[in-house]
Amino acid sequence: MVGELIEPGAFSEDQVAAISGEEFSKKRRTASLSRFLELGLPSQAEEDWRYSRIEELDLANFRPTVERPSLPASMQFGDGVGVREVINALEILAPRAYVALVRLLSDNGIAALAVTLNGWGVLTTDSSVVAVDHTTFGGGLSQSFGLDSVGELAQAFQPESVTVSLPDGVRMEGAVAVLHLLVDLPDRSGLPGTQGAALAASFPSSRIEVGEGSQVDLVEMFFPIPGSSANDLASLVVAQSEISVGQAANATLTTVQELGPEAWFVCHQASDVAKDASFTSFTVSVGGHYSRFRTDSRLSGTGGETRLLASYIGSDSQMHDFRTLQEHAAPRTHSDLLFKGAVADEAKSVYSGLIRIEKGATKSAAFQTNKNLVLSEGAHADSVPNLDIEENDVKCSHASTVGPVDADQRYYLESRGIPTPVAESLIVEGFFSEMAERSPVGAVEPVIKDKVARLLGQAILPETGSGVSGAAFEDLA
Amino acid sequence: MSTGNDNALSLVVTGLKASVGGTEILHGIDLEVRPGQVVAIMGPNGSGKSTLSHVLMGRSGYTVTEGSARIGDTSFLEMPVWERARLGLFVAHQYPVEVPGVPMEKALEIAAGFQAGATDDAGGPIGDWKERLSREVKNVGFEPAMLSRAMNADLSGGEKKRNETLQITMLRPKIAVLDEIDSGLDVDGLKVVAKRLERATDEWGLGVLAITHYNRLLTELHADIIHVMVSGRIVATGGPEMATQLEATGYAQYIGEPTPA
Repeated sequence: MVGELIEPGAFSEDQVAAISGEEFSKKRRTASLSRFLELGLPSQAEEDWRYSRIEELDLANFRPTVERPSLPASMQFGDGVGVREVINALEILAPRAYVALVRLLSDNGIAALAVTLNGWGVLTTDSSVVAVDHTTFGGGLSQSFGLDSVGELAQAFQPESVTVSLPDGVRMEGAVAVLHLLVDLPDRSGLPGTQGAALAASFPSSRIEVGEGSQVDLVEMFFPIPGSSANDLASLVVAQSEISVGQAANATLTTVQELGPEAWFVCHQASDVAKDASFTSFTVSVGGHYSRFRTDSRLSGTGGETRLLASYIGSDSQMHDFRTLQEHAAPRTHSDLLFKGAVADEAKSVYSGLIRIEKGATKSAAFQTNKNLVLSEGAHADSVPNLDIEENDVKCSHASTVGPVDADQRYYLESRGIPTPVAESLIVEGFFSEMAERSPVGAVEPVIKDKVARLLGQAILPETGSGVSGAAFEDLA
Repeated sequence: MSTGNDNALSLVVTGLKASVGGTEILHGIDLEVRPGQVVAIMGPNGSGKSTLSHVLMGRSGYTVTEGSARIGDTSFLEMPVWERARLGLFVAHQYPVEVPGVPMEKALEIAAGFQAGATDDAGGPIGDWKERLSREVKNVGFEPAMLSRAMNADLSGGEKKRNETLQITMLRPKIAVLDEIDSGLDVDGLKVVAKRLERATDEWGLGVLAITHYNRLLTELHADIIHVMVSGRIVATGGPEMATQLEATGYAQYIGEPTPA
């Protein structure tokens, strides 16, 4: 699209210049900014943004976080801070993140942890594994899949990157967690071109490199700090994640998006999987007003395999938007995608996925399944699978379903005396339990369960224990 | 076996007419199942036997146009499905559906929490739940490992029917409608299931309405009363001897076809 320059508002060269950094990084930002201004925000007429709500995004309401937010007192540690201390401090700052991390800590253990505030790195527990890097930028991997204008905007305003680097032959005991917290702007006064008080725009990013033969579980979480504008008012979060999985390495990345109900969230996850390597991406998206994950995965080496999994649950007027690419660029590569979502109230979801098998990627196999539960009349799910296959000697399949809770399943449970809302929530929970089973880390299960329970407007179903828990249902019965 | 006690808890169906998609299938059914009694409904395929079970349980798509049904003094045809179950009505489904991701044991335990019959006077479970469950699992010959699997997932036809029977023993309904519980069960399975259900008629006075096409169920589960249902009507009623008689003659005499000379 050739457009005239859009009004930069707060996303101006002045603001880019206000971000501290080396001269070369300023140049790079400025170049990205001018490409963004030339392109403008995407239009929903573009295939990649069809069915989305990007045209409702008004940048004039936001301004980028160009200065490092000050660290809350509870998070101020000296050198050599431990994982436990950081997690305890998070209990006050971001209780939901705390719960997920404590669960993760008890199930898998956490080897190293990094925290960012509005994309600015503020804390790392083990600099040999995870660091905040403002001199070297990634972007190459995202770019190799083609950056859209929102990606250019991200690269213009990313203050720094969390880098996770694992040398060859390392087997991490416990997960490496990257926690992106969203806070108020220190100064919310408007800038020329913004409408009144500005809201925070944040550009968190991470670059992950897994060395040959190494093994690691990674977790990336996006959470607001309660009571900040990032939780209650609108906020804009544009994230980039890049993962290179080295030869014969084995990596999993679990991403949890649990932002406030007014948040705009756009994330580009780009991965490259080398020869004989294995990569699992598991995404859980429950928050936000508009939440978009673009998940691009390239199998660039023979025998590589990737599993792309996602669970998403929408309520109220939320929209969850997923665009996926399974790119097979080498022989005997294997990709398996399973995205399952539920929408209730007036919520919407979009799934659009492409399997691309390049010439020469012989004996490859690619599978893509998207299943959607539509829980109310006002809710809506779109599912658009696509194939682009340039090689004959391959195995491919795709399937998608969109529909309400199965009436026969509900009848069966009701005929056992289970009230309709409880029967439905059991079925919805059952729908997602397959995902929880395939999750690389245990931490995501309560996030899904909690959202299912909230969305069905009732208390979480009790765990089955030793007795019959009739009393718990008295309100319903 | 009729114990004759407490007929106030009988299932009483009176003049029941029901239609599916605007077509009347049941043209006025009258029957009664007393506590501890086994009443059988036999009949050829397509006679409306399964429709009766769906109408009693309240499956959507089945419309009652006339008549009533009650357990004791409580009419239930206006109630939602789950409240009928709570009242003590149970249908052992002909084709139990798979409920993905919902473990059998969890669903059963949650269901029991809503069932008056599954709890004692204080609202607690009867006896020790786990202990009863493992005993009943043995009684019906169900594989204990299947309890943690999703409801009806990957079960054979016979296992599904054992599972339906297991649920009756755990939920202890007043009335169990068995919709072709014999289909899918092999000879041994049929014996185990019938024996357990017959014992339940004594144990807590379970009333059974057994819908079946074949006599073979009734050689194991002894009926007090047998109704023959054809084209949505009960056309004949008799005692246990009727089952053997039907075995020999078939339903031809009731469907207006000429009896072989």
